[in-house]
Amino acid sequence: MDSISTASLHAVYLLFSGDKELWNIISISFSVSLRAILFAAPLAVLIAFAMAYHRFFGRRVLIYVFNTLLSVPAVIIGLTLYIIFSRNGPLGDLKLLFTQDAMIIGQFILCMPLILIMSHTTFQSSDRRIWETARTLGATRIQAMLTVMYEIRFGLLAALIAGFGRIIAEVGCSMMIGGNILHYTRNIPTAIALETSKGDFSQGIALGIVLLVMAMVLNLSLSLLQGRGEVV
Amino acid sequence: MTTFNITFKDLNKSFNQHLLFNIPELTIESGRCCLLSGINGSGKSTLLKIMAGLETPNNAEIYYKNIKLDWKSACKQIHKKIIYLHQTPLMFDASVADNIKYGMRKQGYSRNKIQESVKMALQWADLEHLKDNNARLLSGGEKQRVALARAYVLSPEILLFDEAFSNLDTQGRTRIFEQICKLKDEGVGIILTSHELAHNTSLTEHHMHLENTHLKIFSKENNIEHFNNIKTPELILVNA
Repeated sequence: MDSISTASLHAVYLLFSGDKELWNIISISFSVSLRAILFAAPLAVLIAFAMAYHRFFGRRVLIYVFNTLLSVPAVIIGLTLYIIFSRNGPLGDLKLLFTQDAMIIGQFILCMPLILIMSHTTFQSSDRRIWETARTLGATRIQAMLTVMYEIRFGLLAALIAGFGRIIAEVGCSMMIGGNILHYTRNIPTAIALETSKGDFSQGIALGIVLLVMAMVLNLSLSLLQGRGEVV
Repeated sequence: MTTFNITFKDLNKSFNQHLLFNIPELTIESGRCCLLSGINGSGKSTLLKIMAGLETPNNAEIYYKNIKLDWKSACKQIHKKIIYLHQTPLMFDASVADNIKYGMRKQGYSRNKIQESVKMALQWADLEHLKDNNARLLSGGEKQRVALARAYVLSPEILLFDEAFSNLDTQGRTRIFEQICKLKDEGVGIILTSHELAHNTSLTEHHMHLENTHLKIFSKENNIEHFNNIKTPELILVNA
């Protein structure tokens, strides 16, 4: 019990003393995950919109594929990418293994289906009159699409937050294709796993606090944006 | 003033291989008021949505200024001139004024022109006192007036009302009816749908009835008896 309280106190000290190593891990984590979200979100939301508002060949297959991808464990995606990016793999020449770019690709594959399926559900439950009203009032297809997105913004924002939550705390894929290299590919979850296995809890607790605070801030922001959350 | 008109030939629409309607020829034009009737599920709303370019027909030849247009080009013309109003209007999550500004903003009008037109439209629809309120929180009748003002600022050639009176109380019906009369006087073409035979012989010059995939068209000039034998909105208003 004593060791846990000492570790917790040390964790708080590490956070507030501006420990370089700790904040470097935090910055790598956020930089990689934010870049992954930045690439994944627009694509996912656009595909989700197309699937909800347009009929095209293969639409149902696409929904099935993304639903399946949603339930693929992170470690399987990590393993697949490891094989692809390893020296003898089909994309070995790109020398992406154990780089931040590989981690971004892994996290992109992890969060894209989640954002896409959640956005698709949000689009599906949106009122078609939004699109029709926008179009009949002279909005172009792109303007009408942006109007629909604005009207269902809270649902889309929740999809983004869920996607970000999935990758910021993901360990399997980052560990396998990032390699957990200090100051380069070590992020919050891989650092927590490593320090805990070494029996050094203070850094793990400090990083855990960061993840918890982040989750609270994101959800609080969403709640504040949603207002009273009533149906109008 | 030149009359806007658009003609649909061989217009047909099916859902799941079930033919909804097949119309050999249909011309809609500005300055005229027409009632479109038919029982529930006869395809009135679908026909209006096709006219508004919101629904794609299975087949149609479209002529605008005597030139045959493909569906995409026709939609470009239609979206500038024809506005469809839903039975229950959708309000964007914004103020009444912003809802009215929506179409003008999207069509690239100048800020001054937008301000001027919105002010006029608010007066026209008697909505000045509500301009800063969130449009979603208004009553059904007020929403219908916002929807009308939102269309009015865009100076449409034709307005398509899908069951414009169905969700309104007597007072609301009277107000919307008066505004439709004003629009007609300004030369706007009006098409109203109703599953009741609730139309006004002084307002409508044409009656289109959709039944068993066919559209029957009666004009007042040739079928005055037909118009005299149907209930008028005054009667509906009194009975409501």
